Amino acid sequence: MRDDQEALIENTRDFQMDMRRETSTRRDLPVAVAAHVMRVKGVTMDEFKTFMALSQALTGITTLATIEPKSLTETIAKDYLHRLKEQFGSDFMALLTLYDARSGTPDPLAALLSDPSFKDVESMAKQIVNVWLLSQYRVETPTQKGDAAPAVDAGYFEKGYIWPAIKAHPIGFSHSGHGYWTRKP
Amino acid sequence: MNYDYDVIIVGSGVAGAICAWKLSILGHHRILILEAGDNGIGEGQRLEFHHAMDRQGNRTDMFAPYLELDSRTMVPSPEKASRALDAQKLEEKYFDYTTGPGGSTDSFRAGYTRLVGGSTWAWRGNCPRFLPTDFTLHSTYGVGRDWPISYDDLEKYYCEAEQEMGVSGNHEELDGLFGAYRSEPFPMPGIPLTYSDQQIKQRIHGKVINGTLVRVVTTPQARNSQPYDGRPACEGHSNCIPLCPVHAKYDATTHLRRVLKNPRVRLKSAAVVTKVSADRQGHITRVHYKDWRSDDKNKERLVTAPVIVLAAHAIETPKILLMSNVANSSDQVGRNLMDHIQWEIAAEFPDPIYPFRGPQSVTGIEAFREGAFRSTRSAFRMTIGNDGWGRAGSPAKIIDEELSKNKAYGPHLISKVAERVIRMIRLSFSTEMLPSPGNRVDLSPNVDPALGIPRPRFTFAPDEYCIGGLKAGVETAKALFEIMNAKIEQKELIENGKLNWNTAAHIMGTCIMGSDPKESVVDSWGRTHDHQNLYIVGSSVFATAATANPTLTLAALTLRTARAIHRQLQGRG
Repeated sequence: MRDDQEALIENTRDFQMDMRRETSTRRDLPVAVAAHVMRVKGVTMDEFKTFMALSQALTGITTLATIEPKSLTETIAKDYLHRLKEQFGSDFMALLTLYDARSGTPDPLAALLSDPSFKDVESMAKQIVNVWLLSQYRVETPTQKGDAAPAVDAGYFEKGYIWPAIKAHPIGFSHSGHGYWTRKP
Repeated sequence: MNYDYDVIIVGSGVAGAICAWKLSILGHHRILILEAGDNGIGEGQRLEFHHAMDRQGNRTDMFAPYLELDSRTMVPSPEKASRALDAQKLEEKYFDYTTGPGGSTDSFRAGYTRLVGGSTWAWRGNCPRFLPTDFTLHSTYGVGRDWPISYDDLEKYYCEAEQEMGVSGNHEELDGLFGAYRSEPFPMPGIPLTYSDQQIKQRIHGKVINGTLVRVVTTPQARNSQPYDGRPACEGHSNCIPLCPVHAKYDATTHLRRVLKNPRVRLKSAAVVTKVSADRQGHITRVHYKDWRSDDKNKERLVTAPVIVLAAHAIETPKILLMSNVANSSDQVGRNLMDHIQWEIAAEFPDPIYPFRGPQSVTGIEAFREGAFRSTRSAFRMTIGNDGWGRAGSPAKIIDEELSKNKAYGPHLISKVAERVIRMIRLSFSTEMLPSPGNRVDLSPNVDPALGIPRPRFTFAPDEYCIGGLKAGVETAKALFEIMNAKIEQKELIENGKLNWNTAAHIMGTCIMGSDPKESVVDSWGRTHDHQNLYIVGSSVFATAATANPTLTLAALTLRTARAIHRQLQGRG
């Protein structure tokens, strides 16, 4: 059987199961259909897209919003999203939701930054910048808040974007030979 | 009498390792090294340390690679527990402080590790020598103390230490510095200057500040500038503190690996010495320790030798003596506690100079280490940083600032941050405290629960002598930055009446060397005045702090002490 036929059969089975489930709890068929579509598309999928669009907007890294599927960057990105969600939960989701609501505007970043509720989610925006540039994020403790909060490793230190930007190497990971440092990069 | 060994050395850091190695070369001595920590000394261990460091949010902290060792809870060391370095944050700090009138007015905050191989796993590697007047501070300048030995007495041991550790440096830059002649060349030429060093040197080398000629000099450092002793040349990982990934930087595992090939030498790790005691003849020949890897970690075990050497660094060594109530007829054990009190000024260079490439610091300025002013205020040694703003800042801090102050999110964020980071430089200056009996470490009434051993307790304050040096350092750094046309990132030395300072983590003086048994703990050979078979090696014996990193000097002293121990053992037949 061809892949698309299999997919169609799979999708039909899913659709039937969802319809049974949704309509058993709600009598409303359009809502059930909408819920199915959301689930199949994956709320996760939307989250990921929003996270990547937001990441690109905040950091200025132009290769994030349209990421190569199955690339190393996609793996890292999904891991970053997972870690940030795990650590910060609804605070983090609030930022994604706020940005998503403005993604239709001509300048979503400006709309986000000027939104009165941005200050409530700003620390999350900072952590998104930190994970991409340094592969770390800050976790507050009872005595250490804001920028003084200790950093936690996000798992991909060598892939931080700050290092090529300053023409250096990730600290501890030089691939150049003895004496490279005498020359202007 | 039947002893278990000929020599027992307590501590496997640079002093203990070099002492063991030298004794094993001089004679067929049976040597036991007892070490409180427990870790490997091979390249596999180095790799594991690197991975552990990679998992930390604060990777540049001196303890970051060593946080996953069991020894961390069994034999605590003074991690900066005010920062949550990881999820297993220790709730209680290891250091205690005296309180009330006469109590500590500042926090002694020098760190050290309790590892097989000691703190040299994490050191920077700088190896300047003392100057001749550093040994005669009192007779020359009327302050501090005189050592019972001179630069001349130690000079050939300096040469041997430089060979042993693999110190790179430029002979012509340092030979004769304030009288510090060098009878032999360095085993390796100096580390090549970074691009940043070259730009700075171009602007300040040969200039005169307050009548002093400024010369930018390659710091002598135990960092290979070519393959040496089976270890590679520096590859510029910029990770010196807390760990050299490739062992181009010397650490004590170099000597441990050598000496442990000798079947007469044994290292017992996870062994915490609780006291040393006298035999029936009144000689200190008995070492008591707890083995925290055994099935009974609190059982006191005993091992004996006709010579005992304490090499547990300058906090744990006096602590052992105080717990044992020996070697202290002078009442100086634990006293005269000194650190190099440092500060740094950060600045933005007018042009990009690209820090974070190559070793964390390659060059320094020696010119301010000597002068008539030493009768009233401390000298200082300056280092030129290659690590951005050193402890004053980091790329993370620049990012924080750009986001918090300027809301610089967006397409220009990275270039804005990068523009600033590539111009970051710092000048650090390290001053000298005077030995003072009031600055001390003693036994805290608080006992560490893991093994029931008292924690160290500190009474400490930087003195006016070094504060004078800090102030002069600030003025000098500012003047140099002005010459460079660099924009200073000012943080005040004194804020709200409180002195800002950094520790160099150079702990000295707590078993002070001297010729008078009433005023000192050890003689010129490192032998305790009170007990002819108890020796001390390490920076605890320093009579003055001077303005040089202590490791090279303690290595030279250790080589000299090893000869004395060997002669003594030979005399016994």
